[in-house]
Amino acid sequence: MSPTAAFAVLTCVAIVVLFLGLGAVLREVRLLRALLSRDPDGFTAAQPELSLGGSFAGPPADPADPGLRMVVAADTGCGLCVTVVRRLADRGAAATVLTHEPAGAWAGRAGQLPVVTDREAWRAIAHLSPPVLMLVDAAGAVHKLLLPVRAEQADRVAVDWGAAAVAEPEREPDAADR
Amino acid sequence: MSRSRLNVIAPSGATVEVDLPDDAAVSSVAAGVRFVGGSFGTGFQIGPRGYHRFAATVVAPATERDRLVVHGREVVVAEADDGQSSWATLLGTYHELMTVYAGPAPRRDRVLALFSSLRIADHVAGMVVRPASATLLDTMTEQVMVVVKDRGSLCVPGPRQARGLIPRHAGAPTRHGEVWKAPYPGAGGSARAGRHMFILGCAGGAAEVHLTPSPAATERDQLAWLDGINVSWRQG
Repeated sequence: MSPTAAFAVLTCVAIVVLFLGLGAVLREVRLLRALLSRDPDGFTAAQPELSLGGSFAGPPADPADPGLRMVVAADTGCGLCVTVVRRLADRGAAATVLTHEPAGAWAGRAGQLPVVTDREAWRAIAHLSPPVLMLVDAAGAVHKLLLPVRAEQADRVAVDWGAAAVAEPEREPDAADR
Repeated sequence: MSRSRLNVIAPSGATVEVDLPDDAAVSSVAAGVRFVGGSFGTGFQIGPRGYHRFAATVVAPATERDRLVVHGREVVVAEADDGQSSWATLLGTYHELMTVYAGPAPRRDRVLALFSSLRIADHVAGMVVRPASATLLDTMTEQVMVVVKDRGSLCVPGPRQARGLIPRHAGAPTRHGEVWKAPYPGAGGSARAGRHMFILGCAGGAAEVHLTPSPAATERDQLAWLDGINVSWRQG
């Protein structure tokens, strides 16, 4: 190979390497820009400020008990509500079903779970999509509120809130569970 | 018949108190907000969780085109099967924030830039959405929609727009304010309540009321319900 041809080949290789380097730098800049535009305060979810009132107020049987109980607001017309209630009933979770319908509508669906018909309490959460999982204290105030998108989420929440015993998970939790 | 009160947090952060004279069930609450700045304007709708899915299956059958993460929340982009419209929705903890585009779905970076420019606070009673200060955008209009089963729907405009809604002449007195009747297009001089929209002016706010014919309620029941509505705004 003549020195001129070797020089031309080397030059071409150098140009290609420089272009690849430039591409990598531009990619880094783009990633950095995306990182800067990501604002941690862009979305915040406030704690619920709700009270379910009378039907759910009352001192716990045991004074050592913090008095927090799990309430599932559900409607028989919504498929996920029925599935969630049935799952909680099957697991023997300590949860109460809140509904606006006559309690008879839940006969055979809620298992041993107590069903409370309270239209006034329902009105507090009627604008949200049922099922609504709530952790309610002895005064009827809601401490935590979660709208599940999958039936398994209700199992996990019941365990987290101390309403059900720990069971073997069916799958690893993913981003949607957090 | 017991009275019922609904407190809704509007997109601006102010609270709307809606007093309803009976215990008819509130079946849906939604809100709308529009931001403007210079020659740019953009509108959003806020609905309960499942709003996007409802729109994509019932309002305009659509196909999901893209999913991305903004502010740590999922944004879903769907395009109507007829290609006439598309919408992007941020799925919040309690509510969903949706914007609608004309035509096919926009590119991912446009959707990302739009939702990134917002500051969103999701409350159980409503979602507060404000543009980031660096965008120089401002809230131009906002409204809250309340749908009541067997009665009708209320559209409560923000206090700034309410001034333009109220006619200059006196209306008929109601329990909490005054009411004016405006015929729908094509009402043809009919005196029936169902052929009219009602503008309700109360001391703390105004609302457009649309009565929905229902076999479970007579026109008289609905007019009695209209008579007892009170709407008032409270700054948040």
